[in-house]
Amino acid sequence: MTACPAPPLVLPGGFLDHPDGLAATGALLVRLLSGARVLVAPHTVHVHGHQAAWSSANVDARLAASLLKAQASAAAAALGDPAERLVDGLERAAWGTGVRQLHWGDPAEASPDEISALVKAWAQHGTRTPVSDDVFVHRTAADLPWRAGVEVGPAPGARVLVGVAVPLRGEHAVAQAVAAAALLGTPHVGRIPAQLRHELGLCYGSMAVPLVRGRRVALVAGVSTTTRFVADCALRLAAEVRAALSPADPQRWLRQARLVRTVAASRVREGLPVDAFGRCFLEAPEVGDVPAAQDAADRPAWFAHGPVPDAFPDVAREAW
Amino acid sequence: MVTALTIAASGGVLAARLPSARYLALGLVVPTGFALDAVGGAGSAHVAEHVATRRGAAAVEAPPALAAFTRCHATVFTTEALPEQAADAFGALAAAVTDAPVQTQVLDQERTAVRHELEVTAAEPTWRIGAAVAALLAPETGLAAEHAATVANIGSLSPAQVDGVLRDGYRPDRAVLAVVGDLAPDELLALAADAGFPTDESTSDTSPAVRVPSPGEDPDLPEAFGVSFLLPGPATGPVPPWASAVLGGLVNPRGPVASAVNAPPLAHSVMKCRYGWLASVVWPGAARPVPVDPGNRQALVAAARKAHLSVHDGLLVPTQVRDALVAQAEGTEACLAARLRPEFDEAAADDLARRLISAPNWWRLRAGRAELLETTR
Repeated sequence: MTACPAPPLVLPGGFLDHPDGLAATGALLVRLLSGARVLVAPHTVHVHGHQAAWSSANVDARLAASLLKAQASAAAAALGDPAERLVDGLERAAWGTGVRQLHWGDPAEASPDEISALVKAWAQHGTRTPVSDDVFVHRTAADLPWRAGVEVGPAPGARVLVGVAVPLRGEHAVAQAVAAAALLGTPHVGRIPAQLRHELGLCYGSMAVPLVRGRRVALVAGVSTTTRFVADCALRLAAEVRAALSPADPQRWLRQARLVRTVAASRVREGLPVDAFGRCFLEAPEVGDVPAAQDAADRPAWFAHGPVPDAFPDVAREAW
Repeated sequence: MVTALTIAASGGVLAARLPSARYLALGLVVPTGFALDAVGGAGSAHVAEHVATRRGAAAVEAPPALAAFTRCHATVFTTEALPEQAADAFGALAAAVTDAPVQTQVLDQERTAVRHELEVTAAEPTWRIGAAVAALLAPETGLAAEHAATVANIGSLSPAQVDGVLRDGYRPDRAVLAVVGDLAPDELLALAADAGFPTDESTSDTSPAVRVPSPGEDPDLPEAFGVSFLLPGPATGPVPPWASAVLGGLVNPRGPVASAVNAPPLAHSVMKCRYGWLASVVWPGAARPVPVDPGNRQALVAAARKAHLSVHDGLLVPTQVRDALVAQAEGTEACLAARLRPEFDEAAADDLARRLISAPNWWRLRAGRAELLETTR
C-alpha cells in the first residue's frame, strides 16, 4: 500500500476482452479492493487513487456473491435511464443481443474462481498512463447478422421510447454514422429536436448516436414521446434519418462529434460516469474523412418501449 | 488529486481556469423561474426558457448543444465548446438573452413542447412529492411552485405573459455568465465581454424578485410518509460551506434517519432554493414518526468533514466546475471560493447537526396534500 496519490491507472481490456459476464464484476472487485472510484468504460477500466496490492487478491465465495449481486443491480439501475434503455433496446432489436447481455452477462454464470482469475489476469497486464482516446474503441466483436424488424417492450408510466437503427457498411460507414448522428441531434440541438419537437410538437427528448461494434455499424435515433404521437414520430424519424445519410456539410458534423467525444473522454479520463450519448460517440473510432453519402445497407430495426399502441409494428414497417 | 483552480469574478461574469480542460464549459443564469411566474401564468418562465434556447441555436452558424433548465428562481443554460467553437458558444448564449417579443407560432410550438414534458413527468408521482412537502413546510422558498404548471393550464398562457418574463429577466446586465476552460481568468472575462456580457460594475441587480407561490392540491400524489429538515438558503444569510454535506448525510439512505425506520425508503433528496434547503426521506404507505438516534451525530459530522475536504476532488472536469459556479450564481449553494477553503468548523458542524436532528418534520401525504404529523420531540 502507498499513501501517495497515484496517477490514473488504466487496466487494459474491457468487457469485450474478458469472459462473458465477468468484466463488470471484475471492475466492482477492483473498486472494493482498492477503495477507489472505478468506471466500466466501453473498453477500459480506470481506477484512481489505486492503493491496494490487489494483484494477489483471492476472492472468497461470499465476496463473489455480493459482487455478483451488485453487478446485477448496477446493470438494472443503468437501464433506468431512458437513453441507456433506448440504445440497449435498439442493439438487441438489430443484432438479437446487446453489449449488456453479451458482456455484463448473467451473474449466475460467474464463479469465485473465475472472478479471482480475472482480477489476476488484469494485474499481470500491468498499467499504463496517461489515458489515450484510442483505448475506448472496440477492437473485436462477434459478427452477428442484422435483424430487420420491430421489437416492442412494456414499461410503466406515460413515456414511450421510439427508436430506429439503420445498418451501414463500407469503408466510410463509421464516419457516416458519426456525422449523421451529430446532425440529427445532440439531445437539445439538431434535426430531430428542430423538426419533431419544435416544428411538429411530436416529442420531448431525443437522441441520435453511432453504434459501432467491431465491423458492425449502425446509425441509431430515437425520441421520448407519449402514446398518441408514436406513429407520427416513427414516420418522421424515418424521414429524418434517411435525409441525414446524405448530409450537406459532413465536416461540420464531424467537428460537432469531436466535441461530444472530447467532453465524454474528459469524464472517462477522470473516472467519472459517461452517459449513453457520450459513450456511443466514444465507442466509435475517431474519423477524419468526409463520409461518402450512401443508403442504408439493409432495412432498419425498430424498437418501442412503454405504453405502445397496437398498430406500432405495422406503422414502423410502413415508415421504412 | 487536488484540482488546481483559479477563480475570478467581474461584473456578471464568473470565470475559472482548470488547467486540464480540453474544452470550454459555459453556463448562463437568468433571474427568473417557475416561482416567479405571474398569477395565472403558470409555466411562462418555462416556455420563455424554450424560446430563448431556440434563439440561441438560431443565432450562430454552428449552434452548440444548449441545455436549459427552469428552476424556482433561476433559469440556467449550459453548453460546451472546443476552443475553435468558442465564438459560436458565446454567441448562442448572448443571443439567448434578448427580450424581443415572442412570435405566436413559436409560442404555440414551445407551449406544445412544454405540455409534452409535463405529460411525461406527471406520470411519475415521486417527482411531485417534494413540491407537496415544500408547500407544507417551506412555501416561502419557491420549491413548492415547481408543479404549478400543468397539462391543463399551460395552454392558456398568453404571448404577453411570456414577453413579460423575457423583458424582465432576459437581459445581459441581469444575467450571470460562468465560463471554465484552460485559459487565464482574464482571457475568459475578455471573451465574455466581447460577446456582450458586462464585466464592469454596470450590471444591475441579478437577484430575482420574490413571490410566495400558492400551493394547490395534487390529486395524483401517492400515499407516502416521510421526514424533512429545513435550513435557510444562501439568499437569507451566510451558509457554512459544509452545511450541504451535513444535510445530505442526514437523509442518506444509510444515514441516521433512514435507518430509524425499518423499511427501505422510496426516495431521498435535498431540494435547494436560494431561500431555503429542504432535505427529505420518503417511504411508501402510512406510518407514525419514529425517534431519531442523536448518537449518530458524530458519524454524521465526520462524513460531512470528509465531504467538505474533498470538494476539490469533485471538480475534475470543466462541466463540474461550471455547474458549481452556476449553483453559486443561482444562490442554491454557498460561494465556490468558500467551499474550496480547507477550514472545517467541527463545533459549528456538530451544532448544526444537533439542531437538525432535534427538529424533524414528519409528514404524510393524504387527499392530494401533505400534512404535518405529531413530532417526536
